[in-house]
Amino acid sequence: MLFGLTLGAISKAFGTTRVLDRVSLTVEPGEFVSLVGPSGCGKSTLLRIIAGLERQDDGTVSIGSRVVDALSPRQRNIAMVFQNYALYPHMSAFENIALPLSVGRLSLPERLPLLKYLSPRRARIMREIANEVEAVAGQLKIEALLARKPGQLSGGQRQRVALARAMVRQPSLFLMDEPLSNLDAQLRVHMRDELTDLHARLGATFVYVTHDQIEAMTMSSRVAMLDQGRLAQFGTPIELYDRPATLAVATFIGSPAINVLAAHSDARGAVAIAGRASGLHVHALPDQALSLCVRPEHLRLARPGETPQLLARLRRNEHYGAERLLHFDLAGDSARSVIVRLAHDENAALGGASETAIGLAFEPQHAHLFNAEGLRVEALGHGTSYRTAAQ
Amino acid sequence: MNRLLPPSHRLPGFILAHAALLAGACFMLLPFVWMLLTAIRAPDEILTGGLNPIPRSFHAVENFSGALAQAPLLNFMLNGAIVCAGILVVQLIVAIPAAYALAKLRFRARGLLFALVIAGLCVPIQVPALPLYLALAEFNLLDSYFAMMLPFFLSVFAIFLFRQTFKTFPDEIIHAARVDGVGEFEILWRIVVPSAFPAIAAFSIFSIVAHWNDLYWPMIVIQRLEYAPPPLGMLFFTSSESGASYGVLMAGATIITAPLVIVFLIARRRFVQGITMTGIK
Repeated sequence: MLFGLTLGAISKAFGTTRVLDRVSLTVEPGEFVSLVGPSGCGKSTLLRIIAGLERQDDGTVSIGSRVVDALSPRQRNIAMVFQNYALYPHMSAFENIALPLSVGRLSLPERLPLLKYLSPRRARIMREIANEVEAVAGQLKIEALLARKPGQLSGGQRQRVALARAMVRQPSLFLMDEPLSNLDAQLRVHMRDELTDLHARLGATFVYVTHDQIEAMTMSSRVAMLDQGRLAQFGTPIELYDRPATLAVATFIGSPAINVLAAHSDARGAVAIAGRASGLHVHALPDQALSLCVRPEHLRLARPGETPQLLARLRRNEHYGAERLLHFDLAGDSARSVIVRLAHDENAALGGASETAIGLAFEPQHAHLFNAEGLRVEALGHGTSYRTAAQ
Repeated sequence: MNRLLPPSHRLPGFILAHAALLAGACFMLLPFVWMLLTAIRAPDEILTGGLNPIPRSFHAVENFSGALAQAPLLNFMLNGAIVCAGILVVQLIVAIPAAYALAKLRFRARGLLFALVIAGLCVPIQVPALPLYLALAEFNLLDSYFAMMLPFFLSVFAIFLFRQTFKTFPDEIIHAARVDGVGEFEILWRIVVPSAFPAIAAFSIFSIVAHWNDLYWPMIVIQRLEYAPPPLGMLFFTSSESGASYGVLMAGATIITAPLVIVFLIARRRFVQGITMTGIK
């Protein structure tokens, strides 16, 4: 049975600190949704509220069409995978995976030492449980590890045991709290792959918390970004990348980070960067301080004869093989630097001299404008509506 | 072996420190050595033999069989075992859930309750001794195992120690267990307690040693020989039966001390762990 998840205006405060502020979102059945944001943005708290481990101050959580606010974590029929795996330290991998089943199917006396041997049906139930544990272990290729204790397993193996423990109950909803952040870089890339496959195979609904925007971008069908307890944007990874709703989303998503430039609109709404025309207009916002953002791959060296929008000095030239990153310091504002991303075969006439300022340019429809509150401002560039250019 | 040797420039300090420790150890062990020596000497030699460590005639068999025959030593030890076991079991059953609640559950007045536990640590047994005695007398419970155990059922020290240990247990694992549907009591006994085994073992050793050796409280509530735990039994035995036969007395003391020494030798590592863990001796 597939269930979606609906959050209705969830709010939570710890003491006087507001952690979540009216967060609403709907996860469709079978979807893989990531909750991202910088640490302290409230994403883990939100996940614990969905799980029922924490109570919200206000708002409702529904799984499927059922409001689950009054239900215990167990009754919500969810499974959770934790950052530090949270395996029961003195139980073997097998016992760890079997525990959710034995708790559900055996009565309390049947789980007690000594007393348990009195039950005639216990042996049969334990055999069933063993079969299911082995089936799940087979799916995750950990059959050989079942007898080991968590202390004898590597990080990747522990993560698989934790996944198996989550899967064995066939829950309607998987909650994952930064499950890959304790793995080394190589293993993380590999597990990312495996989790995506697992999601496709199980067809279950996944809610995945991460502070790693790459994980969010590569794995999820939709991404919800939280910023200071508020839902900043909820959409597909490409929507967040191409049309960030706030300055926080723009700077958080993408690596290397988006270039943020201080800009100003004049009385007629023409936007300028350090006095140079940017080619963008905001008629509704005359005479305002704005942030103008351009992704590194949208910034390029100005062509001969073209009027550049920025003047900058080259500080560093990083070659990654497939691409190059050119780090520039803006002329007249050495505190601010920008990155230009070039494909490997793109020729850059840098002139070799780092003392001379080089002109940089971008297409106005690739720029994002944000007002002083960090909210997106629609701009017009070269007479073309930004909206049509972006979509 | 090489690892144990310090760099040569620190050698004098090393020797000095160990000499001091060795002297301290000798000083502490001396009464026990003297007890053992007295237990194997002939009666006439005990007072006249001076400081000569080697007995001239060995009287060990007579002294030990005398001690076993004259005093119900095995009975004293059985009493001690019953009292120690009873106290320890109830202490653990009470202190472990209390400590878990203080460490991991969120409820109102938790801070206040914990402050009361700390305050309880500061109250010595002598303070409530009189009211406890009066209450036990009122209910005709004097001269019983129960009377010897009652004041110690609730150990604030155990609550404090276990709370500190449980606090270090990862919340994530408790959360995982709640999601898996494990009840709070089962989380405690099946998941948290096994991880706290070193602390529980350390406390058990403290508790057993303290109550095996306790003389003060049994002396107040026990009049009859058949309930006497080892130290009180020895006291009765000295005053009534043995008179001046110190050899027999020391043989009895040796027999009574032996179980604790054996427990200590077996659980030495846990004992040291316990002291370093609690910072309390």
